[in-house]
Amino acid sequence: MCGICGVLETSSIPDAELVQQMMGALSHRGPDGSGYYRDERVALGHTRLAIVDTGHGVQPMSNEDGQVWVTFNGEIFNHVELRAQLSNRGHEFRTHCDTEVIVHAWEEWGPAAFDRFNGQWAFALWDRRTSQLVLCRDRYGVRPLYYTRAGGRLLFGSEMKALFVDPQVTREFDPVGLDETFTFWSPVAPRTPFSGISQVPPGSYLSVRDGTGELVRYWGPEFPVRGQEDPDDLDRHAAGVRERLIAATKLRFERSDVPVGAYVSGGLDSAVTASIISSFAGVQLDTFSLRFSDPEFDEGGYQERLIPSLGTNHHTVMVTDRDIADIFPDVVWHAEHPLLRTAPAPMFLLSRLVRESGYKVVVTGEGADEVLAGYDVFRETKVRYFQGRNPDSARRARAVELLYPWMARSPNLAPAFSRGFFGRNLDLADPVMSHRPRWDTTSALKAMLTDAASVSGDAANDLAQQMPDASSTWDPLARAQWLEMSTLLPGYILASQGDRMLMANSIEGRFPYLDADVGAYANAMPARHKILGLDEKHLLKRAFSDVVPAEVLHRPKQPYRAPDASSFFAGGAPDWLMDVTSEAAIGKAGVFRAPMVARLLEKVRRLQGTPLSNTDNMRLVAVLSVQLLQQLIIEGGHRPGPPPTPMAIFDHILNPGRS
Amino acid sequence: MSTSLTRINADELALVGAGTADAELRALEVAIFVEEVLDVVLPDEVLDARHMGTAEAVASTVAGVTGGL
Repeated sequence: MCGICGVLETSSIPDAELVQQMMGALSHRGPDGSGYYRDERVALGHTRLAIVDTGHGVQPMSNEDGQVWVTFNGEIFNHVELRAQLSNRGHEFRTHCDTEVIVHAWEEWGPAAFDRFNGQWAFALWDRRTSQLVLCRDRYGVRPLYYTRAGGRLLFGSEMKALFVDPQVTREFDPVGLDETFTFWSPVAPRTPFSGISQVPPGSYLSVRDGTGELVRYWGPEFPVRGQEDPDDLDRHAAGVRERLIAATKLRFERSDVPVGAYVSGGLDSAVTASIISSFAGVQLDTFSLRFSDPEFDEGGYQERLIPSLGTNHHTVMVTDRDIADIFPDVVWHAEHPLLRTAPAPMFLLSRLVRESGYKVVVTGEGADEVLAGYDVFRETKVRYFQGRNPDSARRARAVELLYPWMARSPNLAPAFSRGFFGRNLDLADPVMSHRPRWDTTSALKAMLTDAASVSGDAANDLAQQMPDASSTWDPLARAQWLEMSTLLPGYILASQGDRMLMANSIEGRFPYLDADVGAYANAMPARHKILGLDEKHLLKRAFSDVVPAEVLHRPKQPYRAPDASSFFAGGAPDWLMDVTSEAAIGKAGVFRAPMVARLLEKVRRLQGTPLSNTDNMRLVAVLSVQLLQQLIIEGGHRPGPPPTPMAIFDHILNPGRS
Repeated sequence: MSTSLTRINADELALVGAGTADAELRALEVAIFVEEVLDVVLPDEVLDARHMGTAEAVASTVAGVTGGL
C-alpha cells in the first residue's frame, strides 16, 4: 500500500518540485521511502509502504527497456501466477514485486491485463511508446485515485490533498457532489465533493493520449437473469463459498513479506476471516478490536466469546466519546469527504493501535455484507417487494414486523410507523425501489442547504438511469446489491471509513470478501441462497458453522456504529467546534443556512447530545465535517512536508542518459 | 413434497422462518420464500399459518394456486 501521484503536461516539462510536494502530501500513505520519474511530458510520484519484496521494489518502476513506467498503490495478489505466465512469454523480471508484473502485463495484454488481476489497486502507467497515460482502479474501488485538470496539466493522486498542492487547482465544494452525499452518503464516482475534481470509478481506467481522455469501464457487478442462476443446491454453494473464501484469505495472509494481523469486530464476517487464518497460520496471530465505553455500541462481549476459540494475541482500544471529538478534525482531514456519521473516527484509532503494535497489514471483513447480502436493506428489500405485490393487503403489511425484532423500538411496537416508512414508494417497476426509504431519510439533510449549495436534480433518479440495461432481468436483491456496490461500498465503506482511516496510520487493509473469485461465485447464485427467507448471509453462516462460535454465528445483525452527537457535547464541546460553527464560519463556507445550524446546535446543547433523532445526528455530523473541510482543505493552511526518505529519482530531464 | 413443488427445495423450506416464534409472522416469511422461488403472487387468503405453517400445508396451498386458485 502506498501513495501515488503525478502530472501530465501538454506543452511544458513537468515541474519536479510540484510532484515532490504532491508526494509530501501523501507521506502518511508510504512512510518507508519515496521516488519519482520524470520525462518531457510526465512526472510519476510514489510514497512507499514496503510490504512485498521490501528490499527492492523502489517505485516508479519500468519494464526492461524503460518504455513503460508505473506508480502503483495496492496489491496484485495473483502476481506469482501472472509472473509465471509472463516469464513463459519471454518477459524478464528484476524483482519479486507485484508492481513489475503490471508493466509486463500491460506490454503483453494491454488493457485486457486488468481482467487478469486479482487484487486491490490504483496505478498510473505511462507508455512512452504511444505517449499514453493510463489511470486504473480495482474492481470494487478499494484503492482511491483522483484527478483534475488545471493550468494546462492533468494532475492525479491517491488523495485529493495531493492535487490541492497545486495552487492552480480550484478549491470549492461541488453542489452536485454534496447533493449526492446527502442522498447516498457519498458522491457517485467519477464525482467528488469538490468542483473540478474527479475520481476514476471502480472497475475503470482513464486513458489519456494526445490531450484526449476516455473513461473505460472494464468491470462492473453482474448478476444472472432471475431464474437462470447457478443451479447447485444450498450445501454445494456453501461449500463453494467456503473453498473460495479460504483461498482468498490465505492469499491475502501469505502474500506479504511483513507480518499480517486481523481485525475482529465481534461480528460474523471478521470472525470467519480470523478463524480461517488461525487455522492455517502456523504462527501466533495478532488480532485487533474496537471497544466502546458506551455499552450501546460496544461489542466486547462477542469479542470475548470469540478470542479463546481463535487463540490469538488480542489487542483492543477503548474508545470514549471524547476520543471521537478530539480526533474528528484529523478524521475529516484524512477522509476528505463530508461525513454523516462519526463511525470512521474509531476506525482511525484502531489503525493507530495496529501501527503501534508493529503491524503494517490487516485482514478485515469488509465486503461481506455487500457480496453475501448481509445488510438490513436487503432484508427490507424482500419485505418491501412482498408488500408491493399487493400494497392494499393488510396481511402483507404485517411482514415489516419480521424486521428488527430485537430492537427496542421494534416494528412490533410501532407497526403503523414501520408500515408507513417501509411501505412508501412501493413501485415494483422502480429499479431503485429497495433504497428509496433510506435515501429519502438522508435527503432530509438537504433542507439545511443554502440556495447556492442546492441543486434541482434528483440524484436517485440519475443513479437509476446509470443501472445496466440487464438489471431489469435481475432478482430485486441483485439490483439492491448493485446499488450498494456502486454507492456506499466504494464511496464510504472502503473510502472514508476504510482506506483513508487505515492509511492515516500507514496501515494496509486486505479484504478477502472482495476477492474477484468470491464475488463472481456469489453473484451467480440464486438470491434465496444468500438470504434464505429473511436470514441474512445464510450461506456464510452455513459454510463456517464449524469454526465460528454459535453465539457469534447466530447473533442478531448489529451494524457498526459509534456515538454521534454525544461525542461532541456530552462532556463539553471541544474548542475546534466553536470555531467551525460560528455564524461567520458558516456564512463563509456558504453550504448551510446559518439560522438552521444555530437552531440545531442550540437543540443539541440543550439535550446534552442525547437523545437525538437519527436525522439530527446526521445533520450535526454533516455540518461539523463540511465546516472542517472548509477550514482544513478549502481554506488550506496545511502545507505538506517533504517526501519520505530515501527518495529514488528517475529524472530524464536532470539525467537524460538514465532510464 | 408433491411434484408440483419440485422447484421448492424441502430442505430450504424447512429452514425458512426457523427463528421466528410467532406462527403468523413465520407464515409470512414462508410466503416470501415461496413467492421468490415460484415467481408467483399468493392470494391474501393463504398468507397465514394454516396455509404456510407446514411443508404439507405449503404443498397443498401451492398446488391450489398453480391450479388456478
